[in-house]
Amino acid sequence: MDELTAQITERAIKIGGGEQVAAILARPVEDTSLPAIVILNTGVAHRVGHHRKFVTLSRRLANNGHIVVRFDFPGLGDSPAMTGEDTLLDTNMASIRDVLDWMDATLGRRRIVLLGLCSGADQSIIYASRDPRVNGAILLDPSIPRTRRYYVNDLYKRLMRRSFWTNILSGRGRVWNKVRRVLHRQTGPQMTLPGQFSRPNLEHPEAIAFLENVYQGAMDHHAELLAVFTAGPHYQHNYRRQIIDALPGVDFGDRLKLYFLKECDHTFLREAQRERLYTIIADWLAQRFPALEEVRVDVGQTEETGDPDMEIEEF
Amino acid sequence: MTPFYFGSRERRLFGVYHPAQGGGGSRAVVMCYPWGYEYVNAHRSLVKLASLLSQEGYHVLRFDYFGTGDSAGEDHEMTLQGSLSDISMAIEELKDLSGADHVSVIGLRVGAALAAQAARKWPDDISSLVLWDPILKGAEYLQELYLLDDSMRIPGVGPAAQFSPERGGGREVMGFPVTDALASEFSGLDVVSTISELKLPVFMVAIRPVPGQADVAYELSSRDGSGFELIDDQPVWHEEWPDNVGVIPVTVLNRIVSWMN
Repeated sequence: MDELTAQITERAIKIGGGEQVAAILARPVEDTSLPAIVILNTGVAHRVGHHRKFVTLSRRLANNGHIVVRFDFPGLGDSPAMTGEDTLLDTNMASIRDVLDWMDATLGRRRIVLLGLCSGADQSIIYASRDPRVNGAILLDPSIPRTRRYYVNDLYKRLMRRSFWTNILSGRGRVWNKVRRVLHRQTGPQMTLPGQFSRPNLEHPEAIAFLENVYQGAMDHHAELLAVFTAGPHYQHNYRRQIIDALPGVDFGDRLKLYFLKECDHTFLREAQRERLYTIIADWLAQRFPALEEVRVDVGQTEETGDPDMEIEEF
Repeated sequence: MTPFYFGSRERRLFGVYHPAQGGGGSRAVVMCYPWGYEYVNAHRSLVKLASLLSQEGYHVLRFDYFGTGDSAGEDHEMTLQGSLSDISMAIEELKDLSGADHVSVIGLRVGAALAAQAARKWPDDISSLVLWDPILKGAEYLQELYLLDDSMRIPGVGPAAQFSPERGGGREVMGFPVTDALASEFSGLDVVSTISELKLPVFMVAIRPVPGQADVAYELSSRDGSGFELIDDQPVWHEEWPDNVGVIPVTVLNRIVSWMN
């Protein structure tokens, strides 16, 4: 057996009334009171995750004493698609509940931390607002609205780029493309815009109210939050505290830890970045979720205390 | 479908067994995944192919090589030689599960190259072969991988790491280590010559022309029961986000199933 799995076991399981959820259970050989971790899919990628990072992360966390379940939503990976009238969100919420019910009934685990990247992060926080068993959520690049400061940062960064000015002078680029579209003089293929993947719909009052409601719901259940933002979705977020500015109606108190990894892409493609992520997660879990017999350490206003190397430049 | 672990204590492999629907017979298929980022992208389509074959009455086993997916082992421990022995274990496992005396093997990309090698090595166990966009010349594939990684312009992605000799040397490529050993193995892949040595029926399907393909097509067209087809469909192993994310190459899958039948 390789070194990584010497202290843990892994088992393939099927969960749910129709055994429709395929999952891998990773657990330490010696049981602990630490919260269990549940890892959700990213987009349509199966539970292994891009660059196999959720497998490595599962094994590392299991080595640290956590029970870890990584699973596939119905229709993804090794879980068959569900038939019925439920929306995709409802189906996925029901699947998370099935996993938590299984962990409760089979393993006696009622302290759960959800973990997800991108859509997985969004579904983690939505579910966390609905189930008090979720004691924490690790949100990697969750969807948040852009703010006034985001736009200022974005404009500043573009003005600082040489390409911006060479494009202006040569009649190319984003600005001229917009001008041409306004003047209906666009010919030839549409130019790809750097911000074309942004989600302005998140800035609608209804969307902000929805997000504030789910984040506040999680906080009302006393959940701890770790939010890690990367430079990948630069069209959507570009500074560490954006989530706080974007959702002013949420009282995060001292239970939100924030990181902005400006030298990291959305899927954590480089191994060094994944190692950094694993360390951030392990440290946060150790700090916020000590074993039940240990005395809880007061960690204070952690949203103000990030590693300065991980910050985007402040303006 | 049934997810489970099999193999030896030193080499635990994750597999998913799709039993033949409708009772089934003794027809069985082992599927061989591609490598690295191509595996992540193509997984969804290979699950679909396994499901289609199961509905057609085939017992199907798809599995992760050691050091990949949910199987044991770390990324840098994956080698082609080791993966070839994993294919042998998967064949034996599927024969036990299904009662089949021999199996067909379907491989995609590097998985196809491995499948061809397996067919040469264990001719009594493998009765037919489907090669889906196989890596025909490993040296060219390796250079394509390096070029692809080096030319990435994604915010936040820095240069690829070089690994120490203790880690097996080599460098990162698209999120996975290509150790010195694996690079050497990739460079040595020559599916064109391997195919020429095979006596069993081989169906090769590709979505784009590549160097060496015409030679294989000519070779296969001259044999009874073998063939080659170029089909216009999606490169499911290469994500061109967001255009082909989650897309299933229906035409290719249906053609593979019809050839198997």
